[in-house]
Amino acid sequence: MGNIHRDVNKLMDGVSVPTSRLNHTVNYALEEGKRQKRRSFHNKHRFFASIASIFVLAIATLLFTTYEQKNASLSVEDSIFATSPYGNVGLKRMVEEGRVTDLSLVAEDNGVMVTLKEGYFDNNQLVFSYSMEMSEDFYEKTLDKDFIMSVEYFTDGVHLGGHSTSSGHPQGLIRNGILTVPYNVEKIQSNSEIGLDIEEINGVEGNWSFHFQLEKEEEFIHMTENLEFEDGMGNVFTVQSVKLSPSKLDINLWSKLVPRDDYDELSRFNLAVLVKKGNELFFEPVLRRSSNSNNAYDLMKLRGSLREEVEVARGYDAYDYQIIPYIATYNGEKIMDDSPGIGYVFESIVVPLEKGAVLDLETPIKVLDIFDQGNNTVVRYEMEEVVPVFPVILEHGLTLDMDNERGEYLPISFTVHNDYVEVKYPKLDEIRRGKLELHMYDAAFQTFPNLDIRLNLK
Amino acid sequence: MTFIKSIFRHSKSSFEELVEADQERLYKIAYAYVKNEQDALDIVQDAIVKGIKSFHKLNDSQYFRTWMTRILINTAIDFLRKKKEVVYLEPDWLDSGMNLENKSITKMDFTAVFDQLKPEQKSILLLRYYEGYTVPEIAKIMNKREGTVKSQLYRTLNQIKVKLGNGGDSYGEYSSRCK
Repeated sequence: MGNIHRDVNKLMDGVSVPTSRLNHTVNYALEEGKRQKRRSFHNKHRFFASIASIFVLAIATLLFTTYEQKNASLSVEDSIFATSPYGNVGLKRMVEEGRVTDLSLVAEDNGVMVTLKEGYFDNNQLVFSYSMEMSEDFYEKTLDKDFIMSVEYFTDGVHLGGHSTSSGHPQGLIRNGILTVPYNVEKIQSNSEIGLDIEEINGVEGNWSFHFQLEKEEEFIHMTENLEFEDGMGNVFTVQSVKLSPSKLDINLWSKLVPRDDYDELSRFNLAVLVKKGNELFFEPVLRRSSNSNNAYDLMKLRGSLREEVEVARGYDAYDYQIIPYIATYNGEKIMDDSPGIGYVFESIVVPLEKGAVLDLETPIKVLDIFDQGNNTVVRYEMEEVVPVFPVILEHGLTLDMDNERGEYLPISFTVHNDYVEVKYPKLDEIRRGKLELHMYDAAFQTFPNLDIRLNLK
Repeated sequence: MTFIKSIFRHSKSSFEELVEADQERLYKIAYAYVKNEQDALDIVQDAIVKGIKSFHKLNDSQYFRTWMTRILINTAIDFLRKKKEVVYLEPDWLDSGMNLENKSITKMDFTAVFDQLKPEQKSILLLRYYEGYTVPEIAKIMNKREGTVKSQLYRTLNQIKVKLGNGGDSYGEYSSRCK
């Protein structure tokens, strides 16, 4: 600690301060800040006047929109479902296919105007997108707080239940977000009158109330027969039920894994869900895995079986799924801390995106070729064992553990050939090409080669 | 109007005193990001303007230093983004050291290594070792999860260690210190 502390302080102490210019700058900034603050005060009054006007308009709008959905199709660019980091490819596809309803209902209270923008309803999920407008004052007060929104739901006047959404960490208000009804929506009828009351936004109580009807997507495949898969080594995976709706696939999975001596506290049980088109396998993102076991994914503690619900976004209109379970034992370290507790840091392997680059994992991955193909960039990898985990392409300076909204290219699909695996990514931005790298967490992978878990749902 | 003026006068007075007492520190932090006197002054100026506009929301002036540091760091990072001069690492950084296939590293001094870090990495180092904040405090200032801060700090120190060659051995003590 001594050295880094000393070096940083030495570095900072060595900065010479242009005292005169700094005094001048500070004085100027104080005057300018004061001037802008006065102007902002007057603007704020105008803002609230505008809110009031909008509210009057909103009441008029509500009268017409409460029972009348807009049929105008939403564009992907304007859709929160399609563009928000809280959305997913399943909802994005629903937007693209015109299956999302443009609600655009407005409610205002306590200086916060909430617009319920989109609604989507099928037998696996009932979801809404919203946007919020508020005074800058209100917004800035929330910046150090967790985002909390309390919502109550009603169907045909009957209280369905309520819940609070929380961001889980301080980030202020989520101004464009998504609300998912956290109850079984199978029994809610199409075109029921749905009530959605927002009762609290970051500690501010209010009444943002919406009433509307939504048509429910009819397609629903519910399979309840047990499909058991075992590899002859004692590892058993049983698909106990499957629910498929246009936007989402829910799988109830029971897994029994034979403990191995080489599992350690950095071993994780993962699943890849794939859709096959010809020889090409496309990734479908696992949105959530929920289990009633506290030790669900700690292979050191998991000495029996695991029952879990796996929620998968349906980015593709497909019905044949392949599920590949695998164990990744990461290189890294466990970090103990009073708060938030135990953490893990996984080591990354980073190489330039170029022919001949080698990701030196336990089973190395070598880049054989990189080329563009239509709207994609294809990277050919030489790898001894094919595990459905491929490098992520990141702009230089980004890391896998950051929220990389831009400058990140995730694998879309892969095709296994005799001597190589071809992985498709979104087409690389020309400007960024020179500074892109391949990133992967350093891990040893264990697959279950004798398992072939396939779901044919049509 | 008289009432409004009195509020401004009160805020101005307190804010002014606090800023003037802290201005050199603010300048030095800004300079650490941009390595340029004029740019550093611009950042300090922008941060002060932002600060004075929201100073009334700071309930307790004992948190002024943390609050102002946060504003300054965000302003510095925004400034770099806008100028599009964010050269996180020079190409020779990759070629000489970070490529795992080439571990022959030219030893550099700490200042040179620091200059090549990306802005967020600089923020974490400055907050931890210059300002003396704990990881949870840094997480709050940077609006990040503690795990992310720990992980980035760990990687940053490892990068520095690699780049400094033998001179960085002591940075290997990071994990025990970061608990």
